[in-house]
Amino acid sequence: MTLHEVRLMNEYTISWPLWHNAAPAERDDFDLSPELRADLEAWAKTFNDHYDWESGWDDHSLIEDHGAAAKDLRDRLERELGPAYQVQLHLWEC
Amino acid sequence: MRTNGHSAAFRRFAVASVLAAALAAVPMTAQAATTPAQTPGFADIVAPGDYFVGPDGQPVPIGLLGGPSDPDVMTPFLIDPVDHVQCKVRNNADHAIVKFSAKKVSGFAGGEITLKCGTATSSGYKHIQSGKQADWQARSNQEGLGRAWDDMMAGVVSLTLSNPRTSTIQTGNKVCYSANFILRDKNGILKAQYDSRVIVSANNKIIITAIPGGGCR
Repeated sequence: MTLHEVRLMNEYTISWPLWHNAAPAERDDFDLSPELRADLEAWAKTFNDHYDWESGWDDHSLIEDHGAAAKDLRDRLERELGPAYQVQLHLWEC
Repeated sequence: MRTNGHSAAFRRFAVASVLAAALAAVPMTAQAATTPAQTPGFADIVAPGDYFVGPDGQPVPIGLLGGPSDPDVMTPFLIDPVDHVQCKVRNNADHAIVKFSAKKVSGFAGGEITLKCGTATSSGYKHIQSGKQADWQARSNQEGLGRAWDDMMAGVVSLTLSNPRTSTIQTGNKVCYSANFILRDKNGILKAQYDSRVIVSANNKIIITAIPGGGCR
């Protein structure tokens, strides 16, 4: 079985943090629960609202929770997407 | 540091292959002191039959703009030996690699935009390399000319900034430039199509990041 690679990664100005096929994914590229969709968007929003490209995090107390949320999102993505997908987390901002 | 405007994006510099061969034969320490007699620029970024969709929405065959691609001619390198030392040995984040010419768009005056070494967690070359090198390399592989990821990236950034199809002002004094790229094989079969996404700092006039997809949305 061919594994489809999906990357979970934040990037400046990107509000939907899933990537595949060499580019940011579209929101309807994957069949995900509304709860997971909302949490993915919230995770990306936290990054875009609080991480500045020049100075980094404006609130360092967010870093630990942000990192933990990333791993939780990765695990939930793996469960919802199933065995045909390989989810990679690239957490460069922590 | 090089300046790379729209016209330069399509110029071919055969001297790059000569330069590359010469540099490959000397130690790195000697390379760092080498000043190229002619600075490499960026060749046509995609193969004949591929298209760059201009701001008017009309596809422009890249081959017509830049002349036919010659697979025997080495295309230029974004990172020259001096850049290599500054970025990868000395980790000089402020080192300027190349300047692009950005078109004036709604809300931003455009002008000269610099790609610096940067860092993985901030902006510039190293940030683009972090997490997105494989994406750029995948686009280059679709192109099929064996171009290194960063040469591909620089060519796309140059075209995108000089002739954006769309642009948006983003929070934090950031500006998004996007252009559409269509890659076809020699039989006209679509290989790939994507909207580039280049994020610029409006006040610092530097490249923050560049993505081979996503567009400005």
